This record gives sequence, structure tokens and C-alpha cells, in this order.
Amino acid sequence: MTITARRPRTRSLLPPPSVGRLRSGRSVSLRLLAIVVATLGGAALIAGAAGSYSLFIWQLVVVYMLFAASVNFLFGIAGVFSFGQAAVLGTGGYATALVSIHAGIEGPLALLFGGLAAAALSVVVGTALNRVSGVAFAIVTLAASEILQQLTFRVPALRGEDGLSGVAAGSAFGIALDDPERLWWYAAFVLAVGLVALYWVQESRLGHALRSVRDDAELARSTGIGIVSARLVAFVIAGFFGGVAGGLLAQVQLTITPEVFHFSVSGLVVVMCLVGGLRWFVGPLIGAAAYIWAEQQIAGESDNRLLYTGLALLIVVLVAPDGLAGVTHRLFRRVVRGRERKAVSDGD
Amino acid sequence: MIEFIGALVSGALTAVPIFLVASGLTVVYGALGVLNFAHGAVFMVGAFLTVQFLGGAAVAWTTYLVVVLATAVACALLAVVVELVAFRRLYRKEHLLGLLASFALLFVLQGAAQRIWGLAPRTQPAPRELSGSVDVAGVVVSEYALATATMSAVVGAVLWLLLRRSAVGKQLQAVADDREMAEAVGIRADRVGMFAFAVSGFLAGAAGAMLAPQGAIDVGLSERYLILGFAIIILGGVGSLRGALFGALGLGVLVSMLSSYAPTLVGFGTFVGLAAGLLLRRRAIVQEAT
Repeated sequence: MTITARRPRTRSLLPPPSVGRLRSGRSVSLRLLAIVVATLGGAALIAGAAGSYSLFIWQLVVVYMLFAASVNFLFGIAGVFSFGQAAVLGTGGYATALVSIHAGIEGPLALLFGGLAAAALSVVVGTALNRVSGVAFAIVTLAASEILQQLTFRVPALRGEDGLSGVAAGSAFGIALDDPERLWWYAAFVLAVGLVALYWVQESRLGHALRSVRDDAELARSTGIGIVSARLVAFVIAGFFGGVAGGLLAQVQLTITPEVFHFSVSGLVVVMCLVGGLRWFVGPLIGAAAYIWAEQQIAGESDNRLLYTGLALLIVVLVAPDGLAGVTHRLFRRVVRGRERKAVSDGD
Repeated sequence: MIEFIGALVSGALTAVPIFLVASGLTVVYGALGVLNFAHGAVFMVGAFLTVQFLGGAAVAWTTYLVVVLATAVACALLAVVVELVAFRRLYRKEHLLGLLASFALLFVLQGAAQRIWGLAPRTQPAPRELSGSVDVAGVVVSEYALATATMSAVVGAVLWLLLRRSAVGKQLQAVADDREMAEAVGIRADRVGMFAFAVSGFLAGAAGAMLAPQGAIDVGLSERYLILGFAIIILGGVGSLRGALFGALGLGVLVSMLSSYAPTLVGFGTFVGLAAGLLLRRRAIVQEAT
């Protein structure tokens, strides 16, 4: 008689469970290098092909790619659900704008401030993880983003509906970011650094601890992993990178407004992750690009982002919960398998 | 002192209708283990439908009562559709999908409302006869608040009887306890689930219709009342009607006290309540619930 282990619930949707084996340092380094090369290579292609308006759109794509990658880390690797990640995007954006306007801090340093502010916010909101988890925590994060949106109207320094304008990207490492192409390269570098950091964390010991908490919290606890602190760490890391993305948003738009805290922003980032495929590292990147592209296509039709975001999410959930990356993967496997089968039968 | 009692009374009166919102969440959560994000949107649809039916005119209270019932039934149907479209297919799949589907439906319903009714907030006056206020032992209370509290209390009592005394209520409890076992003894869990959604939609719709005159009606109602319902559940304890009642009373009084004594915090009452609920509870409240 064989006893089969109970399979984790989230097996097919989320990145594979920790199998107790870390990738070797060299394998991870190679993959990190591949991420950098792919990001910068892609950036070069786009810089060559795109005009200055579409370069601005691409900068937004990069912002949402980083944002979605941070959320994918939170959902996929840590299994912590937040429906209020707009809170960290907005906090990062406002913090970057404030240090830029009032203290003249610009470039990557301003992004760091944005990231740290968002991480600090995540520590505060994340304390709720002591009491709630799962969907209940998702609602707590939703409440947090609503509070912040209201604060932008109540705190005079945040200028209410007008938001903060006059943000300057400034200069990075002595290079003035004053034309669209330089700003584009700057954004691409930020994305590359962010992706490298997220991938490194995800393949590290911490990343594997998070996966085991995600798959079986009781089992993870029994191996000495603190469940609450693991989730909190993941939430803060995701918050930091979400904040950096928000800072970058402020820098490429040169302004930041309360809409960044809107509930629909939290929703659209979830859609990006799902459309791309939660299970894959490239999923949110594909999803972000696909979403912004689709939004540009229907921009003339309607400004009803809620409806389209909701429908997109509903369709993905009901039809292809593993997203574009998952569908591609399945098609690819079917093709490869078919060819192998053919090869085998030809050989006979 | 009179101000204190006034705040207490008006808080308790507002608590009764919002109890309906929270108990709708509780019924579905208790029976199916789903915290339905779309619940807040159903409430919002209820408020909009009321304006739609009445055209924003002040009407007689009997007409208003009929509209409340019609809205509640319409919202019950909407909730059943929500269940059929999204949840029915997902019970046996990964829990994450149900969660995401209800989140998606919140957006879809909000977006649809935005398309149908636009972004400009609507208003709905209270019924003609109930627009004044009465003086009860020195405390001034709005007649309409008194009427909605009474009406909601009746609905709440019927709900309690339905869940405790009726056959279908018993079946609901059985499914909540152990879905597989309930199915094994012949309870059709799918139908019971649909019933739970219908009840929750009815409650949200009735509350939305009754609370329509309380303020501006816009798309944002859905997430505000979702968070409100959730804060009540956290304050009062998950999964029981009694918890929802005490949570609603606590939150209603808290909000009303804040508006009397800490006007700068008006608009943050729900969040204060949520934070208080999280701090007061000793243990994890909702375990791994999706």
C-alpha cells in the first residue's frame, strides 16, 4: 500500500514549493545575469524603436513591472494576499515627491526614501498579521490604502486633489536625467536592480522559508520558522519595492496625485500578476506590459478602469488561472511532447 | 451628559442597519468559508436602485417600504447570479480562485454601476413623513433613523428565526459544520450555498435601500461598506449573528462618539473600529480563511 502525501492546495497556481534544495550559487548568479541582460537588452530595443511619447508609456510599463513583480513575490512566494498594495505605491510616490520638492533629494536616493517610507508603512500595517491572515489581512490592507487616500485630502502638505507637482528626477551618478531617453535608461536600470534583488530573495534561504510557510504553515512552524515574522518580512520587502516603483512613478510623471492610492490600482496590479501568471517570475512583467498595452488600445473608448480591470480578472480566473505564461507553457509543452512522441514512433 | 446620551442613542440607531450589512457577510462566510468581497458592491447597487426606482423624490413611507423590499429582492437575485457565475465553479478548486473571483466581481459591479449611474454622487431624500426629528426624553433623534432601526430590527429578527428555526437554516448550519458530511446525509450543499448568497444579497440590498438617504450615493460606497462590514465582524467575532450585532453596536456608538468628541477623526471611524478590533482580539481571528 502506498501513502501519497497531501498535495498543497495552491500547487498549480503558485511557484513550485520548496523542495528542501536551494539552487546552487552559480545557477542563481547565471539567472541574475540573464535578468540584467534581458532587461537592458529589451530597454535598448525599445529605446531604438520608440518615439518620445511611447517612451513615456514604456516608462509607465517599467513602473508597473516593478510594482507587479513585488506583488507577485508577496502573493506567489509568500502566499500573503494584499488588496491594498496601492498604499505602498502611493506612499513611495509621495515620499519621493516630498524629498524631491522640499529637500532637493533626487535620483536613486529619492527612490530609496520612497522605498523606505513604504517599508515603514508595511511594518505598521503588517503588525495586523499577528491577528489575521489570509483574506482578512487582505481587507486590512485595503482599509490601510483607504486611510492613506483620505489622508492626502486631510493633510495640507499633501495638497489634496492637486497632488504634488514639480517633482524632478534630477540626476543619477552625475548624469542629468533631462531627456526622455536618459530617463528611460534610468528606469530600466532601476527595474533591473529591483528584479535582481527580488529574484535573489526568492531563491535565497528566506525565499524557501516563505514558500514552506505558504504551503503548510503548521509544518513550517514545526521546523522552527516563525510564521508571522516570515509573512511580515515578505510584506515589508514587497512594500519596499512597491515604494520604489511608486517613487519611479513620481519621477517619470513629474507629479503624484491621490489617485495612486485608489482601490483600482490595487486591483490592477493583481490583474497584472494573474494575467501574466503568478507561477512564473516573468508572469507579472508580461502582465504589466499586456495590461498597459490593452489600456492604451481602449483608452479612447472609456475611462472605466474598474469595469475592464474587473472583467479581465474575472475572465482570467475562470478561464485560465495560470495566466498568459501558463497558457504559453502548456502550448509549448504540448508541441514539444508531440514532437517527442513523433520522434519515438518514427524510431520504432 | 445629554450630549453623551445623544451620541449613544444615535450610535445605537445607526448600528441596526449596518448590522444587516455585516450579517450578510457573516452568513456567507459561515456557510461557505468565503469572505465575499462583492458584498459591498451589492450594498452599493441597492442604494443606486433605490434612487433609480424613486427618481430621487421624497415619497410616502409606504412607497419607500415597497421600494426597500423590491430592492432587497433584486439584490438577492444579483447575489445569486454572483454565486452562479463565480463561486459555484470554484468551491472545489483552489481557494485562491474564489477569493480573486469575488474581488473581480467587486470591480465589475462597481464598473457597471459607474457606467449606468455615472460618477456624480446621487442623493435620495428620506420619506416625506419621516424627515423630521423627535425628542425622546431630551435626546433629539431623527425620525428616519428611528424608522430604519425598527425596520432593520424586524429584518434581523426574521433572519435569526430563519437561520435557527427553519429547515433550510439547519441545513445551512450543517453545511457550515462539515460540507462533506452534510452532502453525505443528502443535503444539497450547492443549493444551500445559493440560499446563503440570496440571504446575504437580500440583507445588503435592504440595508442599501434604507441607508440611501443618509449621504451621497456613489461608487465608493462599495468599498466603504465592505470595510465597515468587515470591521464589525472583527470587532464582534467571526461567524455568528450575535457577534455581528455586538460589533455593529460597538462600531455605531464609536462612530457617533467620534463625531461628537473628536470631529477631526470623522470619516476614520470605521478604521478606528477596525484597529480597535484587531488590538482587542487576543488570538488570530480568521484562520487561513479564503
